[in-house]
Amino acid sequence: MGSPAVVVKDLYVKYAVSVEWILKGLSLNVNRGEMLILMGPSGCGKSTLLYVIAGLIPWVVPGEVDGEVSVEGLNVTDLGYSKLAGVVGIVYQNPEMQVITRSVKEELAMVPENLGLPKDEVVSRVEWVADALDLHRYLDRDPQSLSGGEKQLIAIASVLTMKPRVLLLDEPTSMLDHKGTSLVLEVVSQLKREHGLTIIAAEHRVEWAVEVADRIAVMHEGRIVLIGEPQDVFSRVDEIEKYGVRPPGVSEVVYCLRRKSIEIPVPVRLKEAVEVFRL
Amino acid sequence: MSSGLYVERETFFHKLDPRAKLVWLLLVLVASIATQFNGLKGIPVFASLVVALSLSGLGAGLAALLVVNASAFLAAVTLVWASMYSNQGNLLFSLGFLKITDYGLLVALGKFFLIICPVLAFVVFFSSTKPYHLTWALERLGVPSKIALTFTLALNLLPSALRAVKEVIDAQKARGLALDRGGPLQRLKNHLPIIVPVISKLLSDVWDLSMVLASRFVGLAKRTYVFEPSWRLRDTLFVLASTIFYGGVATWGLQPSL
Amino acid sequence: MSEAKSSARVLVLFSVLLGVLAAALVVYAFWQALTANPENPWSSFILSQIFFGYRDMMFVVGAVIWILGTLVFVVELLGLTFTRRGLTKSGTGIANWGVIDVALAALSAAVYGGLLAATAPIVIVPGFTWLRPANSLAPIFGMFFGIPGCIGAAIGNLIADIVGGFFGVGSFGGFIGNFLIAYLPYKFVKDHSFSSSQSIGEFYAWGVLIQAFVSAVYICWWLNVTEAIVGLPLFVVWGIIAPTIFTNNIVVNAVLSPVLGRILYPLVKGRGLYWRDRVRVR
Ligand SMILES: Nc1ncnc2c1ncn2[C@@H]1O[C@H](COP(=O)(O)OP(=O)(O)OP(=O)(O)O)[C@@H](O)[C@H]1O
Ligand SMILES: [Mg+2]
Repeated sequence: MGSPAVVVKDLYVKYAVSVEWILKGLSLNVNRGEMLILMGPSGCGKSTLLYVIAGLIPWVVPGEVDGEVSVEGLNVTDLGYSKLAGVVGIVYQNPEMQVITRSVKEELAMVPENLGLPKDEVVSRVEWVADALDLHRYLDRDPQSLSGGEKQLIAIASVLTMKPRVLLLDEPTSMLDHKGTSLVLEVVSQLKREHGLTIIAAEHRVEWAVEVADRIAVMHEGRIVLIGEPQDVFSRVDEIEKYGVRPPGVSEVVYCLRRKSIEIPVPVRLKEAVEVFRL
Repeated sequence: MSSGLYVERETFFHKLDPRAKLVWLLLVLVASIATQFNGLKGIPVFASLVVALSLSGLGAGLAALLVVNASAFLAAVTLVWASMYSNQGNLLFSLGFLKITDYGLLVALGKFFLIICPVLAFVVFFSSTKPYHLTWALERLGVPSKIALTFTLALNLLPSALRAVKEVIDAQKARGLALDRGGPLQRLKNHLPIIVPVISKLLSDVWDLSMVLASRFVGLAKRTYVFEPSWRLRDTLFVLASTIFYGGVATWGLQPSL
Repeated sequence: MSEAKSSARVLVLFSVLLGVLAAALVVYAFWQALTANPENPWSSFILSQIFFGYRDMMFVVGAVIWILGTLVFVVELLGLTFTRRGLTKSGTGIANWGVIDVALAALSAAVYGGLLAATAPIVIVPGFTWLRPANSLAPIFGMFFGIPGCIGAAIGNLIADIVGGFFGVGSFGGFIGNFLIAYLPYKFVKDHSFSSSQSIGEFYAWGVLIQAFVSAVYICWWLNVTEAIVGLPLFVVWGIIAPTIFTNNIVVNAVLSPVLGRILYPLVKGRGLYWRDRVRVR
């Protein structure tokens, strides 16, 4: 696998206005091309971790960072977000705040424009992302008239135009309806499949997570308490429920059966469940 | 009302280069200034703006709407002007202390056009010029790029700010808030339950927006403009025609009249 | 020490009283004028008589205020500020702005403009005198957010003009006028928390009385010198618009701003957005 894309070692983080450390000695390695999904209850520090990896704390949001965070060998805390073009991109929760122009084309051109790239390079990046995510039908639309899911799609595309090697997603679907959620998750799965991006996502749709994630990390009070392949993490139903994470429905059902001492393995995906019940 | 906000359309004015529109704005201003003492000569300028309003997709009715909205103010202002020139020209009629002469009336009409024409021209300009081009033009005019950016960002955020304010107002009204109850001071105080939630939303949006601006690398390098407006034949012809028309009206307006 | 403190308290109480009194007096005087002369209250309104009657003096005072105000605006944008020791670096000029400052200014402007556009003014004389509750925010933005807040108020007012369909040459006066409304209390009120009597007292002096006079004169002086471009007669400028702005800014800011400030200060502080905290962090 080579060297990891993201290395976090013994990380302590707090905001300028917070009293206690929010992240308390967190360590994590993420390999190239891997997709890691962060789960954990509200307030456990998922967003905070992503902000540090994106070089936003303490450069945009004032705070204190102690420990090592490197992305593709670069020390992001020392460099700050402004030096990380082409390295890390981040997509946030709120679609309303993420589209800030009045035309999708302008929105997609924004990052390369702000980086001061030559005109033809800007144009070719817009073309590239529109092709990759099939956005041509949106190009001339006013983002104000798009649905939440579509806005989020544009936000993802906008970040991709800087050609990041690591993509961070901070609960990109938590403010979307069902349709918007599928739209966004479909694109994220596609990015992993076809573009081999390293992806770290905070996302609570477990049924999706078990399908696409290489590993799941469960966070609790500023630390990673459980990390591994979806199969391993979600089959420990008792444990993850204790940390406030809901396991996939199928795992829950089978787990209940096991309590009644029916000896079957705990499935985490629907098709495995089908196998299990065929017995 | 949101008459001056950019509206995405495919009209003649939308297609013009913003620089051409700025020249036009200036010409409207000059012609209005030159005809301010003779309302009859101001009529072509006003007529041109009615045409511009329809050519920008806003509709000539907007002119009427804006005039009606400000009617009390405009009526008073024109009356003041008319009465200031009541010792010149022939007396038409008098209302108590108010004497109106034909000359006074001409001045009043001219001043009316002077007030209303540039305002209408700005409405046309803002509603037909993309915020993107506005930033571009402001930067070219020497406005610091972060101020230009702040201005267009604010314009772009306005629709969602308006939506948020309306939501809060509706929610508070549903809970029994009546804004127009009580005397003026009480009515002022009635606005507190609207302003406070709107500002606390602002406070949480600030961090979200700053992080978005950071991940879009706003303000770091000298920005490239790929959708730079391009000056076409259309723009040259428009500027030429405008110069001839408004220049003609202005020259006519500056000639001693009556 | 304690003697100085108690005399400061008396001073503070005095200025609070003065602020509220001024607001009440203005409303009362206008009401009197309205009942005495319903067709033309302006000719009987004491403030109109003052502004219009002394318009020559107002013109001179206005020129000084306009030059100083515009100078301060430019100097602050350049990252400098006037202090007792002369011009010094402020660290808050445009060149020092990061993404938070842009976000703060843009959101303040959008919200200020949005509130001005979406809340109906409280009309006292249709078309002439009104109270605009949203105006209470300008000094708050300045005091809490610093220069980005001042710019936000200026741009917000401009946007309200654009959206309302009355943007014109006259709007330049309102642009810097609103900057000054935010700037004066930002610069001269020492304690911005609205929780001590000194804070409130100084606010009534700088954020209410002086601010109202300065902004009214700034805006009207501009309308006066651009008379041939904007088209408003001097009687309307000094006899109606000046007292209207003065009245609105006194009443709205005396009544709403301290209450708002008191509620919002802890929220702003808790979010880490109070300007002194941010300047220190950098
Ligand atoms: N900008 C900030 N300033 C101060 N404290 C913050 C800030 N953002 C988050 N916090 C605090 O840090 C802690 C961790 O928050 P964080 O947003 O990282 O959690 P999260 O796991 O992403 O939760 P959620 O699922 O709600 O998004 C919380 O206690 C929160 O109140
Ligand atoms: Mg979060």
